[in-house]
Amino acid sequence: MNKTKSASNVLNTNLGELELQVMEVLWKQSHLDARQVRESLQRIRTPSLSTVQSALERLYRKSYVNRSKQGHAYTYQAVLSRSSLLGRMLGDVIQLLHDGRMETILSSFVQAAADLDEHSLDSLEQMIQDRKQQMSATEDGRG
Amino acid sequence: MISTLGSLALVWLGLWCALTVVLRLIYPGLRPLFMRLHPDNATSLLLLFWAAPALLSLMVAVMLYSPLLNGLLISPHCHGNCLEHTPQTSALSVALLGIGLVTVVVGGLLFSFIRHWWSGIQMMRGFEALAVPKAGYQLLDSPSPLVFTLGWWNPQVFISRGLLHQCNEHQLAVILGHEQAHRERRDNLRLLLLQVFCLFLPSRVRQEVIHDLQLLCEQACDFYAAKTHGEIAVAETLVHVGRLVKEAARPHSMAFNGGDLALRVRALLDHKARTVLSRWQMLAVGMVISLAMILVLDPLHHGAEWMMAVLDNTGFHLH
Repeated sequence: MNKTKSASNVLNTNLGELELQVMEVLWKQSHLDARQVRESLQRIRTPSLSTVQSALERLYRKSYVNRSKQGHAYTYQAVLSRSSLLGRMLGDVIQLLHDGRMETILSSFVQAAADLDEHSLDSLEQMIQDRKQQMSATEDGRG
Repeated sequence: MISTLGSLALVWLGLWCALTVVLRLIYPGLRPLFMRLHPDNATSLLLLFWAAPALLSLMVAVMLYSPLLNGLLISPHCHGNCLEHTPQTSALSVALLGIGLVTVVVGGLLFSFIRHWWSGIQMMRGFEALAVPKAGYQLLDSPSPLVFTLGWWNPQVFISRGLLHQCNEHQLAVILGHEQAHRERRDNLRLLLLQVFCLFLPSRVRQEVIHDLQLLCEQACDFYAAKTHGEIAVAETLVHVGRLVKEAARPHSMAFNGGDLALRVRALLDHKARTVLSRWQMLAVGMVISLAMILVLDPLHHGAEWMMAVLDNTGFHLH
């Protein structure tokens, strides 16, 4: 039986808004503690310190950030670069498009799913060329 | 009040199930007709077709329990006294069953809708946070050739640097034209609504129906882009991007949806063969459905009374 899951259940890199913003802060500056991360967040409503600490804890558990103890507090640094995270997210999208599980969430110009070989692509190109010639012949005939 | 609500709920669910079965049975016969229509018309009609079991049955059920229409459209008949009446259950257990079932069904649909809605929003926020805004699209700094539209009400177009580097200006304009059509038509939202309305169809049928709408949406956007850039240019761009995606997919041993690509290219080249429905024809379809809804009220009233009598007997036995 073909089981379907929602994209949120299958995305490996499904980071929340705050988690992404925390990552942004840590990409700009490394070795910050929770208080410094909170101060660097550019939000209309700054979250509480405990909310930021929870987000950092989640990121640490997901191995997106590393931490080391400095006195009483932990300081954090990003393990995954911005481009690596984007690569992972796009990899998830490609995989989900391939499995046909993303089709109700996004529209892709060309879907990744079934198979098509070079020969079929060549045939399509030939078909377009034939139509082009047919059209120009019709226009010449009119002229 | 509980009796009326419960009866209405049962009639709604009964009609919903019956219509779903009927439409499921006739869909294979109607499918080629949808595919011969202009994709703009076909996408709207297909969505309405599958929304019909839920929405039409609700409208008919509400009409059936409306005192005004009851007096006008139901043939006079008596059950002991000869007052105007609606089909009502006399068993509280049956009424509560109806209310409970509707709550579960509508709750399930709403839950599915919200879950998908939230997934899409989260994903869009994630990509937005990592993208660089450009005129008309969001640029993703990735070598993979990708372009997609994310979001429901205010969708965003995301294009990777890899795709930009491998397309010329004209091809990029075609791609943006196509994605702009997705934005304006809110195709992701259409697909989400269809997914919700088809929730109770068997999984295989649901996948087929969603795939049909998806293909028609893509064709509608291809046709939209072709208005500005011409059918040949759009078809060429499709094959070009298809090749890029196929090349990029190789390391992951993946390929792209070749069957759909071929159908889309053929649709573009034979675009004149598609039938465009006029507003009058769409209006005529709407009027036929409205008339059918009015005509069905009288037999439905008697059918509902019979159903209530059967359920009431069962309900009494449950006490």
